[in-house]
This record gives sequence, C-alpha cells and structure tokens, in this order.
Amino acid sequence: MNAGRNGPGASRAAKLLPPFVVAAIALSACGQLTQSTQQPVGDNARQILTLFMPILWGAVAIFALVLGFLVYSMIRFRRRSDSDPIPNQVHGDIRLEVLWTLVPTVIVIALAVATFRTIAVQAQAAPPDALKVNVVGHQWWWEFEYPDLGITTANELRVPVGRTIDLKIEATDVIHSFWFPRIAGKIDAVPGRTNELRFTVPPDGVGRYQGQCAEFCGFAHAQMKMLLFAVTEQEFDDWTATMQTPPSEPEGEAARGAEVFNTIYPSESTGCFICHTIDGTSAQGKVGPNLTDVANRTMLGAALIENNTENLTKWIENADNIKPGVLMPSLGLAPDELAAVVAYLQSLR
Amino acid sequence: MATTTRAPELAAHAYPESESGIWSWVTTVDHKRIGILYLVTAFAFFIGGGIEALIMRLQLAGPDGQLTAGDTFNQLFTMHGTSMIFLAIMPLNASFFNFLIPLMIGARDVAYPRLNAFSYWLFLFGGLYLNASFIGGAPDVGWFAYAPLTESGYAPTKGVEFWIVGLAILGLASIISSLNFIVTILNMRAPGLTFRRLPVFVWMTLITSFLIVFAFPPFTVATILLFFDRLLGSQFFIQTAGGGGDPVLWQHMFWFFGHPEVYILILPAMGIVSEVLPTFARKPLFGYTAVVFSGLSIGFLGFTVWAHHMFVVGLGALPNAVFAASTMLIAIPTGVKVLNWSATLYEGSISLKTPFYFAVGFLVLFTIGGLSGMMHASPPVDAQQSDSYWIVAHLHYVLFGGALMGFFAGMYYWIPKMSGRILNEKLGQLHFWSMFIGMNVTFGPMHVLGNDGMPRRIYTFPSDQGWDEWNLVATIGSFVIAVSILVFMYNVFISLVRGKKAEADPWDGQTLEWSIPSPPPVYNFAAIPVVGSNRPHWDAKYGGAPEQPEPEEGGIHMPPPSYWPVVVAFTLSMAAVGLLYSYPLAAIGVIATIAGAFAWAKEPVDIPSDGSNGQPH
Repeated sequence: MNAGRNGPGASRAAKLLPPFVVAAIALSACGQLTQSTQQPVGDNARQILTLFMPILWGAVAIFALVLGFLVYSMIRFRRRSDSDPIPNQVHGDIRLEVLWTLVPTVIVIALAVATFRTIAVQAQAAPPDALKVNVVGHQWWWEFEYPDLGITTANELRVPVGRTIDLKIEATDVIHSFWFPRIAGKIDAVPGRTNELRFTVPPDGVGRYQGQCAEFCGFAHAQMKMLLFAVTEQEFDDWTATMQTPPSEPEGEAARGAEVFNTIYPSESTGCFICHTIDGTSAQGKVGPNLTDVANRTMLGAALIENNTENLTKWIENADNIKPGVLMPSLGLAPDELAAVVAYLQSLR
Repeated sequence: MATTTRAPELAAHAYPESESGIWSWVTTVDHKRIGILYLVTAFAFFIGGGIEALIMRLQLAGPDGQLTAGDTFNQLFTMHGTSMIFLAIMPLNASFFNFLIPLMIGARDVAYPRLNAFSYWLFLFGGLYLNASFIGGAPDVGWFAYAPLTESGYAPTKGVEFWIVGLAILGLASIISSLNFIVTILNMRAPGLTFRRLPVFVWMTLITSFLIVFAFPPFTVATILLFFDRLLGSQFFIQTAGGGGDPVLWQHMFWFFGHPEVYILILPAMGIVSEVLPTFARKPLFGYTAVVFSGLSIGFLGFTVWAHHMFVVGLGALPNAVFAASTMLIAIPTGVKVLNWSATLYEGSISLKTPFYFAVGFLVLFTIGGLSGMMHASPPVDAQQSDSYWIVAHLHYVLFGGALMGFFAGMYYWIPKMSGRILNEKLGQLHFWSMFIGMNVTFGPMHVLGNDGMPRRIYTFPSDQGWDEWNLVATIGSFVIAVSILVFMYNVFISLVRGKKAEADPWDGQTLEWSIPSPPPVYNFAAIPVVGSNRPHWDAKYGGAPEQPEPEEGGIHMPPPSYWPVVVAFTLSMAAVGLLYSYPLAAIGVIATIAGAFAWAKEPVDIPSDGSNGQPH
C-alpha cells in the first residue's frame, strides 16, 4: 500500500516541468497510492474516472492548440527591427466570432450531456437488499451504525463486496466530508441534514482502503481519517456475529479496569463512561466513539496509530500528544489504573 | 498645476497646506497619488500573505512537518486566503482603477475625490485591523468561514469577530470606491468617448464595480447574521434540538457573493491584458465588441453559478445538474475572450517586452485554470476534486496565473506612466521567467496531489500516501516565486532611482493616458481631449483623430486636499475596535464619525481666492 513513495512514475515525473502535469497524472496511476482517485475500486469512483478522463484529454488538446497558436504567433510575427512596417490594422471578423462561439458551445453541450448521464446513474435508488449504514461525522472521528444489524462502531467501516452499500450521512457538530477516494466521490456530513451515498465494491475489490475528512472541520481536521474493509460475504457474516455477541464479563485486571472506566476522576470531573458507550454495561456516553468492539479495531485515534498495548496506553495517558486538539482529556490515571483500563479495553472483542 | 491660491484663514476649515512630504500624502485627494498609496499598501499586504504561504509550504515540505503544526497552520491558511483576496488582489486592481481610469477617459479626477481618499484609508485601517487579530489568535476557520465551525461553540477566540468586522470595513471601502468609479465612468468621459469607444480596461473596471456593488451587500448581511449568532446567541446558521437555522444557508449567502468575487478579481486582469496585447502587437484588439460583451456576460452569469461551490453539500441531483449547466455556460464567453486575445497577435508586429511576456503568461496560465475549472463544473468529477489539492491548484492558476500575471503585466506597462521611469527590461524578463516557472512548479504538482486524494487544509500528512515528492516540489517552487518577487522589488527600486526616463508614450500606446507626460501633471490634461475612436492616441499619431481643442485660458480648478477622509476613516475604525473590546470606545467612535462626516459635508469644495467665505457648490 505504501509503494507510492517509490512508485515507478513518481520520481521520474518529479523531474518534469508541471506544464507536463497531465503526463505526470497518468504516470502516478502506476503507483499504489492509498487515496488515489486514479485507482478506483468502488463503482462510484470508477464512474467518475470514466467521466473525467475524456474531459482531461479534451482539455489537454484545447490547451495544446491555444499554446501552439500563441507560440507560433510570437515567433512568426515578432518584430524584427524598429523599421518594420505597421501591420494590417484588422479589427475583427464576424465569421470567426460566430465560429469560436459555436465551437465552445458544442463542447459544453457534450460535457453537459456526459455529466447528466453520470448524475442520473449515481442518483438511482438502492436495491432492497442493500446494506444500510448510518455515518455520523464528529470532531474528529467517524461513527458507523448498522441499523439493521444493531452494530455501532467507529472509524473502521466493514462492508461485504458485491452488495450495494446504502449510506445515510450526517454530523453532530460541524460540517465534515466523507471521502474514500478509491471507493466513491465525497459527500458532506452536515448537521441537521441527512445525505445519501451509494456504492458497491466489486468481488475482486477485497481489501483495505483509506479515507479521510475532506471538509475543514477545525483543529484536528488533518487527522480525521478512517478505514474501509471490503470483505467477502462470509467474512462479513462472521464479523457481524462477533459484533452481535456481547463481550464476556471482565475478569482479573480487566475487571479492575472496568471499575476505573466507570469512575469519575476529580482532576477533570469526568470519567471514561461519561463519553463512551460499552454495550451491556452502565457506560452509555455518546460523546466519543462506542468502544464495545474496540479490541477488534486495527487502528486508534481515527485511523491514526496502530491498535496495540503500547499505543493504547499512550493514547489514554494523553491523547493530545498523539493527536493535537483531540477532545478527549487526560484523566491523570495512576500507572496501575492505566494498565487496568488498557487490559479492560483489550478484552472487548 | 492647480492655480487656485490659498487663503485658509478665511474659511471655517483650515486646509492642509503641504504639497510634499507625509501630510501631502495623508490629505491628498489626487486620484494618481491615491492610486500609488493603494499600490504600495496592497503590495505590502501581498508580501504578508506570501510569507504566510511560504510558512505553510515549509510545514508541508515533507511528511509529519513540525514547523507550524495544528491551529497556527489553520490561522495561516485562513489569513492567507483572506489577505490575498481582500488585501492584495482587490486593492492592487483598485490602484490601477484609481491611477488610470481618469487618464483613460480624459478626466482630471474621479467624480468624488474625497470619497476616493476615504476608500483608501478605510482599506488601510481595515487591513491593519484584520491582521491585528494575530495578537490574540487569528481567525482559523478558512476564508469561506463555513458555519457552524464559525459559531462561538467551535471558534471561541475573537478571530472570527476580527474577520467579520474587518471584512465589513473592507467591504464598505470597496462599495464606496466602486460607486465612485461607476459615477466617474458614466459621467466624466471626454467628448466623443462613447461606450463603443471605451478602452476595454475601463469596461472591465465598470463591470467589476457593478459586481462589487451587487455582491458585497449580501455578504455583509451574512456576516452580520453570523455576528448576531456569536454575540447574541441567535441561530441563523446553527442547528439545535429545538430547530434553529441551517448551516447551508451560510454557504448560499457566502457563495452568492463568493463566486462573483472571483470575477471581481479576474476581470480587471482581463482588462489589462486587453490593453497590453494590442499595444505590443501594434494592432487593434481583435473583436473589441465580442470581448466587451463576453466580459458583460461573464459578469451576469457569475451571479447564477454560486452553488457549484456546493456540489458535495447534498443539494440533490437536479440542483446540481442546473448549476453544472450554468457553470459550463461561462466557458463560452471565456473561450471567446481567449481566442480574441490570441487572434490579436496574429499577423501583428510583436515587441517581445516584459509587459507582453506577462500578458501572454496570463493567457497561458489562465487557460489552464479555466480548463481545470471546467472539470469540476461537472458535479460527479467535483465529488472527487472538491476540497482536494486539485482545487488549490485550480484557484491558484486562476488567481495567481490569471489575476497576478495580469497585475504584473500592468505594472511593467504603466509604471513608466506612474513614475516617469521605465523598469529594467533584463530584470523584468528574469522576473517573468522565474515567476512563470516557479508558479508552475508550485501549483502544477497540486493537480497530481489532488488526484492522489490529498485534501486541502491539512497541516500534516503521513509518509505512506505517495504525497511526499510532489509536496517537496511545490515547496521548492514557492521559493522560486519568492525569489521572483524579490527580483521585481529590486527592479522597481533600482529603476526608480536610476532607470531610463520614460517619455510620454514609451510603448507606442493606443489610449489617452499615453498622450500626456509621464508622470502626468496634477490636472492630467491641459485641454480635455475629443475622442473619435477606441484608439484615440493611435489616431493622433497615425491619422484619423478629430480636431483637438486648445488648452483653456486661466487656471484649472482642482479639488483641494482634505483632512476629513482620513479622520473619518480613523474614527470609524476606532468604533470597530470598540465593538470588540469596549462599548464606550465604540460609542465615541460612532459619535466622532458622525461629527467628522458633518464637518466633511460642510467643508467648502473650493479654496476661495477672492476673499469670500467659500460656500460649497
């Protein structure tokens, strides 16, 4: 996934001058860029690229014609000496004006027709068997709720390939924008409004895809990322079953951690449970991500760092060190309390 | 020279007396001096906005940058955008309006000279006011300040208030200035200078002025509503449990202003290029009527396309399709303009001088910006490009490649008229090539970054995205641009000190400003010229001009300098400071403004020379 850094096109293209930027765009498609719109997997992103490429090449052709004409004129008609005669004083030509009003008109109509077709395709209603997911943007993380499955999770969206995914997207605080460039075009998450987005990942698209918030949403906008796992129908069913089974009762150090989790800490007059939900327990806070399955997630802090003991400890200790601006406070837990909470959270799977 | 004598003891008002030195500039109402004040001030703000950009590029030179992580970066991009638009490009254009419009229409000043000075001082104080926000935390919400991020719950510092009030002051300055130019162009044209003979630059100024007058009031209303939200807890742009308003309303109101604003920024550059290309090709502008009507239709259509900034907000398929169609329509008049400019060169006799290079630079780069804009005129394509670096690339090709290349074309073309000195040609070409290359190296790669999924307005990115190389290239390019600006500043300095003296008409120009000395006398025209075509000075040189009148007997009446514009601009700005920090100060400011305006109104417009008490007339 990170081959783009040394991708075959990138370093070579870096030496070219940006007027040849289009060539570079084509070259960059050779690499394995995690968020490249040039490597679409979802049907929505593919439709967009299919619309975009002819427009891009058409624009390149128009630009080449204009540039060629300008360069030709500047060389051919440059003034060679001060005694050059005054050129023929041509004020215009009505036939040319008509011609170069009509030609752009035809181009614009073609562009509009192609655009309207894609809009119509993408506006089609989802089939009845589509998988419904409600997406909620928060400062600065993503909530994913599967209403028909009774599952709520955060920052990692798991979908089966070959099935239409029908998203309803909203926000609780400010405007965010939901964007997995290789899966679908972006759509804003707006407080008070429910937007829709549909896409399908084809069966050969099994994999892990990266997305991130595209609408500036405040301090930590740069680190509001998310992951999409496109899995087979079987894997998805397995995951669903796991998610629908409540976590087992914590034991030992994890039980001690559960106590810490549900305690108010005077330093910040709050506690973990005020903001976080863990299904089947008294922790029902709705401010931060639902942690019922936190041990099953691969990343922490909105797809920022790997989910392991060390990172989880650092995150709880002081999340602001890892993600400046994050709204989660540091509770000032003692080392043993910290270790207990980590043990508790790692038991939630 | 103005021949009126000074008798200050006779009037209730004491007139400013100095004709040179700082007070002569503070109290001047001469459109040429005001134009130079605009130029110097706006260029200083331009340097400020440029430094902000360089800091951002350093932060993004590589992955995990630590230079200005977090909120400082958010303040920088907000202030960079706001400054470049309102404090740099708009007033740089205004400097040309001020200096040139009276010269191009054969007038001795603008219609309202003191209001003109007032606009300048408001602009200066508004710009300082906006930048003063850095002390307590500059606005950090982006230049289009989307609600509800701008509401007090999400943006608690006073940065947003500075932004709102600062832009209100700047908007007032722009509206007043635009009304002044509309009245000037409609009423003060020389005999024979009909609309079909108006230089294209004057046409574009007129259209721009109308756009400002129509676009700024809705914007001001939106910012006042936002101010109410923050100050009084009204809920125009915020959704609450009990109902409340709608964040998307802000976007409609903002972009109804914001899109015409793009044409406010670019049309003057189109006007400049329409003057420069014919002069250096020694031909008339090809298709004068088509170019003017294209400018008019761009101005009209500019008000019908605002929702193309909102394709991913979720307005629905039908509104998106409608606004896509209206947006694409703009490509037609824009294409007509580009082709007419290109045709102007055909079979010309082209002098490859610096102003011409910049004008062609405008054509090339603006065409790229226009074509990349056509791509996200298509809503599905925009769903990938919106809020990505593709947009950053596009808008800089339009505003840097377009508006600023046009500005520099105008600088090299008209500085001889402003100063009486010609800028050094070799340094000028060095400036052009370094800026042209730097601009492409900076903004070209941003197309690729956007295509590779890099969102705009992120202060950091990890190294596994494939964005490292192009970001480094862009940062290097931004410093090439910085060097090119230093070359320009050195060129201006060295040329004004010991550059070649400019004659009245150093470029074999076609319009009226080239018929008078460089720099022009205070009264501009000894005799108001009679115009017979859209190239009056060309006709005067090569035949076809109507008979010109002799200079009038006796003195030429020029408006006297005045203290009041700067005083009232200052008291109004004082009220604006008070609005945020101290209501008594605000009250004093308002009272002083009313008193100052009254004194201004009672100030006699003539300095009496006959011992009478000089009533206004």
